[in-house]
Amino acid sequence: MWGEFWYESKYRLAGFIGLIVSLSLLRNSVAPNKKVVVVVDRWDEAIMLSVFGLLKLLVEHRVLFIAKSASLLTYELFDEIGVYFVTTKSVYLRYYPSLLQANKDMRLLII
Amino acid sequence: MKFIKKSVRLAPKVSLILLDWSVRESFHLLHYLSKQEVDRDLFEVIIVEYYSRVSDAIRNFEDQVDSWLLLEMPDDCYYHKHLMYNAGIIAAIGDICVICDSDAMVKPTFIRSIIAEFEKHSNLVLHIDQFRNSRKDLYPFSYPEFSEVTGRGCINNQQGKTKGILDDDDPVHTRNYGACMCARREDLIAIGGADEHIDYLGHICGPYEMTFRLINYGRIESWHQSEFMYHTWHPGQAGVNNYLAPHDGRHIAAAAIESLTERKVYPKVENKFIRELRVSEERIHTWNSDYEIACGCPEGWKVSKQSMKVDKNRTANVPRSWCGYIIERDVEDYQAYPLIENSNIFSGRQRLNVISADSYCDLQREIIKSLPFAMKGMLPVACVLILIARGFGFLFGRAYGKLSSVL
Repeated sequence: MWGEFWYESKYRLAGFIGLIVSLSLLRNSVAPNKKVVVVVDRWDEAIMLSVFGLLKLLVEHRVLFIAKSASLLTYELFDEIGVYFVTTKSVYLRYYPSLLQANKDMRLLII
Repeated sequence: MKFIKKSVRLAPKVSLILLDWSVRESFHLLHYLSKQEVDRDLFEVIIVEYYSRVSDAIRNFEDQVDSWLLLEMPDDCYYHKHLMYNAGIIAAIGDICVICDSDAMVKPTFIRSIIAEFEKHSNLVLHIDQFRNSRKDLYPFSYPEFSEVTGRGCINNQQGKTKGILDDDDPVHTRNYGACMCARREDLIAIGGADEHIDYLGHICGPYEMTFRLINYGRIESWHQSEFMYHTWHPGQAGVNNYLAPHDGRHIAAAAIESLTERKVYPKVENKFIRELRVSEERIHTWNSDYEIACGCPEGWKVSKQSMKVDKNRTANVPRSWCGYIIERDVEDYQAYPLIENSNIFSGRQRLNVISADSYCDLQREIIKSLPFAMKGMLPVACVLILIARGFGFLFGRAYGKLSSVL
C-alpha cells in the first residue's frame, strides 16, 4: 500500500517539477495574444503554482483547478481561440475524454 | 511455435483471444461461452500459451477451443502478454477481436452484446467492465451464481453497475481496462498491433495500450453499460510477485500514457508479422514460418528472480521526459531539449538551448544547473510540502475508508 503511494507520489511529483520548469521556460516565449491556462487536479499543486506565480518565476497564467470532469466541459475559456492549456500526464490521464479534443487541436501541452 | 488445434470455423464474426503463460488454474470462461445465446459459428476461441504447457484446465473444455497455439518461448524468457495478443490477432479470422480474462464469468448475452454494439457503431473500441468479488471461500472456482459474485464480498457493485462505469472522474483507474477489450481486427492491424516494447514486460501491460492508440487513430472508446464480466478471487491476482515495468503508481503503464499524451498511433516495437499484414493487402496470415519476436532480443526479456529487475541498458535508448526536458540518447552522448518546443504555445522567437552531456547523470546535473537560482531553492521545498499534503490525504482516506466499513 505504502509502496504504491510512494510510486504514485514520485510519478506525480516528476510531472509537477516538469510543469514548473516548463512554465518557467515559457516566460519569454509566449506570444502576447496567447493565454496560458494550467490545469491541475490537486489543491496543494494549485497553491504551489500560485506561489511560484506570485514570485514571478513562471509565465503569466491562470490556474484551473478541477475536481470533477464536468467542470472542464463548462469552463468558459475552453473553446476560446488563443487559449492554450498546460497540464501533467497524471491529470491528462484522469480527464482525457474531456481533454482529447484540445490535445488533437494542439492547444494542450502535456508535461 | 506449435498449433495443437486450428480453427475450422468458416466465417466467425468474433474471435476471442485468451492467454496463458503456464499459470492459469481455471479457464471457466470456456464453460460460459458454451452457454451463449448466439449460433456457435458466430465466434471462435483462440488460446495462446506463452510457453509449452498443455494445460489440463483447457483440456476439460477442449470442445470449446477452436485454435490452440503454443508459442514455446524459452522457460527463462519472462512473459510478455503483448506478444500473445499479437499472436492471437494474427491467428484470428473474425472481424472483431476480443481480448479478455479467461478466468471470468459471462452471461449468455455476452457475445450477442458485442456484435450488437459493433453493428450500431463500426468505429468503436469497446470495453466491458468487471464485477470483482474478494471472497476467498469462492476459491477454487465452483461455478457460483452471478448474484453471489455481485453480492457479499463484491468490491465494486453500485446499484447493479460497476463503480467504474458510474465514475467519469478517474475512469482509467476505477474501470478494469484489462478485463475485456473489443476492436475490429482491421483497426488493430492498422495501428501495428500490440506494442512489444520491453516496457510492457510482465504484469504492467494490457490491451488499453492499444485502446489509447486506437483513440489517436480516430476510433471512439466506448464502455458497455449493461453487459459485464464477473471475477472471483484467486491467489496471485493484481501482479503479486511479478515483475512490474514502469507505471504511474496505479499500474497503468508509463509507456501507454506516453502513447496517449503524444498522440501516437504506431507501437514503439512492432511485430514483424503484424507489419507484414499491415502493409500487404492480404489480411490472413499463413503460418509458414516460426513465430518471431519482433524486437529480436528475447535475451532482454529476462528478469532476475532475486531483484525482480531487467537490464536497464535495454530501455535506456528510448526518449524520456525529465524535469520538463525530452532526453534523447545519441550515439556518443545524451541530449535534452525543452518539452515546450514541441508545443504551439512556444512562439519560437528564440530557440532554447539544447543541453548535452556524456552520461545520463551528467545531463540531469546540467539541466538542474540551467534552472534559475530561485527556482532551484523553491522546487525542493514545494515538493516536500506537496508530499506531506499527499501523505495526510492518503492517511485520512484510509482512516475514512476503515471507519465507513466499520459503520
